Amino acid sequence: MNRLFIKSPVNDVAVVNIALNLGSLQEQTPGVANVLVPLWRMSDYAKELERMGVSFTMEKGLDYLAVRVKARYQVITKAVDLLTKALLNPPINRLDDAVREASTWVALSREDTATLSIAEALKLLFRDHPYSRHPLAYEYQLAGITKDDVKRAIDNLRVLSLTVVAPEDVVEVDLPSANYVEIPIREFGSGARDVKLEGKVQTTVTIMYPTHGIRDLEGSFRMNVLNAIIGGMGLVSRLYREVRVKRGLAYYAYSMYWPLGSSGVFIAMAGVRREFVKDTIDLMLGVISNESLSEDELAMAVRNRIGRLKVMTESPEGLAGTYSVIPTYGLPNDYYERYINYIKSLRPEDLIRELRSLGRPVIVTVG
Amino acid sequence: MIRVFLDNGLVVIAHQMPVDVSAIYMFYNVGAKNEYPGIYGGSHLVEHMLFRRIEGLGKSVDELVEGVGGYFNGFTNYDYTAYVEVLPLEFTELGLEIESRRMVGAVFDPEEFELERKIVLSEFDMDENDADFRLMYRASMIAWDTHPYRYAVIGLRRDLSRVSRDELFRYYRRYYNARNAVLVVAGGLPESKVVEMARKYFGKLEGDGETGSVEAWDENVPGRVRVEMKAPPNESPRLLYAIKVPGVHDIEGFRKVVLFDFVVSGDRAFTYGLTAREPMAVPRSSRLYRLVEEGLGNAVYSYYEPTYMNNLYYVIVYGVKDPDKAAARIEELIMERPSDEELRFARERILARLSFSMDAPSKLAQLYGLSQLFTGDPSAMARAIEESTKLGGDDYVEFVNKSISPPIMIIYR
Repeated sequence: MNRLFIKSPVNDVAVVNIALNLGSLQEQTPGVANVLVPLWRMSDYAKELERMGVSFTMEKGLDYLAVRVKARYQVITKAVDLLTKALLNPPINRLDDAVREASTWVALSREDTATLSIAEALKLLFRDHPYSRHPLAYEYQLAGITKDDVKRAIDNLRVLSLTVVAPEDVVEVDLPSANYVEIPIREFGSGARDVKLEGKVQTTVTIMYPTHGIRDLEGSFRMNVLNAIIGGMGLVSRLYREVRVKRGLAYYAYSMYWPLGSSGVFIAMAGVRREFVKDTIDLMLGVISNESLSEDELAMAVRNRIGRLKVMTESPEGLAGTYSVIPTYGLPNDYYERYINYIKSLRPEDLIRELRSLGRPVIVTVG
Repeated sequence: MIRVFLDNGLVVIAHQMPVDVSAIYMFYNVGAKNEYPGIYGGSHLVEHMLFRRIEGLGKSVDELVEGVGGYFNGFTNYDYTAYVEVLPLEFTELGLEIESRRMVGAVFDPEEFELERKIVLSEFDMDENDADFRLMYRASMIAWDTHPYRYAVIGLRRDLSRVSRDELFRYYRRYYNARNAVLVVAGGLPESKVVEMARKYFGKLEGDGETGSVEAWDENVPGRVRVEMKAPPNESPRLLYAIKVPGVHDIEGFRKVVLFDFVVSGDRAFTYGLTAREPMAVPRSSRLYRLVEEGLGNAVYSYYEPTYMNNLYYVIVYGVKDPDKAAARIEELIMERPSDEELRFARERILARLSFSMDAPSKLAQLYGLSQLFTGDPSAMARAIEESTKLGGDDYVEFVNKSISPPIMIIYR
């Protein structure tokens, strides 16, 4: 099994992250994982976990379904044992209840303009690839999911990785394991879409580009720094400065880089009133394509990335979240050392080349 | 943990943990509770201005903090305004320098003020996009008339559009002073070193200005209130059910609210980590989840945060079929005496959550700071949370009979 243990600086708390092969990428029946999450939580094993004071979440992502467990250290072994039983024994007779609950959460996700705009952009960009299905806000046909679909998902259930943050390495998971398998993308889509929702005061603008996945180490390292400069470094980023600080157009304006296993995605977002949508899109595209980059701006972004790595690990869950990518994607154990060394060596022209290589974006507005 | 009072009145709390990070929190005892007609939402706008130009800082706060990879933020609440930096340990001093300059040196440039006004109004738009926010805001307007909690923290659009730069600058001068502030530093530095740094950066600042302390007061909910709001076709129908519960000014009341919350909702984070998400979900073995199990709704959620004065405890049922039946069932669930098993369950979860709320610098600093502001004792809230586990079924029954208000129900369909 792909696993990683990190000794926790805190004595009485343990965190376990388990990546399961039930992300959008691996689902044989789209939406089956959305239904399994409430179904798992309905089991007596899950309720027993709750009674022990264990906190756990199950969140479907594009590449895997993340099970995150936090417990007092003295009960972590028992907690993981109960969790394993819960995962293997969903109360399948309650499928209808689970479908109803999952459908409500999908509907609520689709009410949120920011979430829905990302979902629509993924559909345009990834077309018939599984990444086109936003984990929570795709138009899943959950009512059509059958008991057989659920049984098949459980029969095929595999652990992609296990990350443990605890005082001692005492946690094992008794489930079959597998490696993450990439599904290549044949061709990216492009275009624009405007979704009008009644009752919304604000519109979300989402601009999405395909880029390097996480296993392209150097490419993803460059994108990480480029994202910091464009919109991932809070108030000091270019998008924030141009859209929010200088013009007061929006409360939020930022970018994200998702280094996934089968591709990467660069996303720029802002929330504005409808009458400012066109100007905002023009402004955002101008900011993203701006090819000037000084040594100072680059140096600041690099310092930011290195410092942030330390800050992200202030808590047990932060440690687990930061390091779990290593076993999940089979990255080298010295992944973060390589990252730091590489980004320290970057020159402005490296990032300008990266900027020029960004493909055509998709542009979605929702509100 | 140690607590020191500087001569100018600043409270300094320091706690060492085995990490390479420092969380620097500066709390000011000013928030929605200090606002008055004409400036509702003004505390929050002031907070925004305190990320703009500050005299004595060579660069902007964001450049300084992001330049070393730190995390920073500001939060305005009903009772307080807080500023935080989470920094690599070697840059701790930077956080103290920023906070000392912020206390006295904000410029409130008129052009920047107008930009921030637009940004806060855009934040209002973002909030209004969310149906749950609109329902809670409406409930708040029913729960209070002249009380400053009435317009929540975001305030009134009309006031935010009109309030002048000069009025909010005076507000800033009035409440941002050492005597009205609590500095908490949790992380890898020895406590004595933190105190030494605090003296260096804050010791020479004047303690003049006002404190934002107020006497706790409340307005009664006149009786059961039922309101209907029309939902657009793309939004799920829902029921918001709100009751008023005691604030932390009544520490005994708060202790009972904690037990009540864990019996009814089953889980609640006491503090929030700023740099990573804590696993959180409504437990299926909680009372509220019975609403879903019994088919009265498709999903359920509750929201509560401790405030100084009494505030609303919200339950939202999504995909609700018969809202009146669901409301009646919520009432039964609230009033029911907890079984021994339920009490055991609640106690386990309270103690676990307390541990989880103290395992990172940014969480622990938050808990100490809030506790100091609300009670004058940095440990009082943690103690009250722990002691809530000693309460029994009789205490629960007495609490729900005597200490919660009649409900406000808002039906959205």
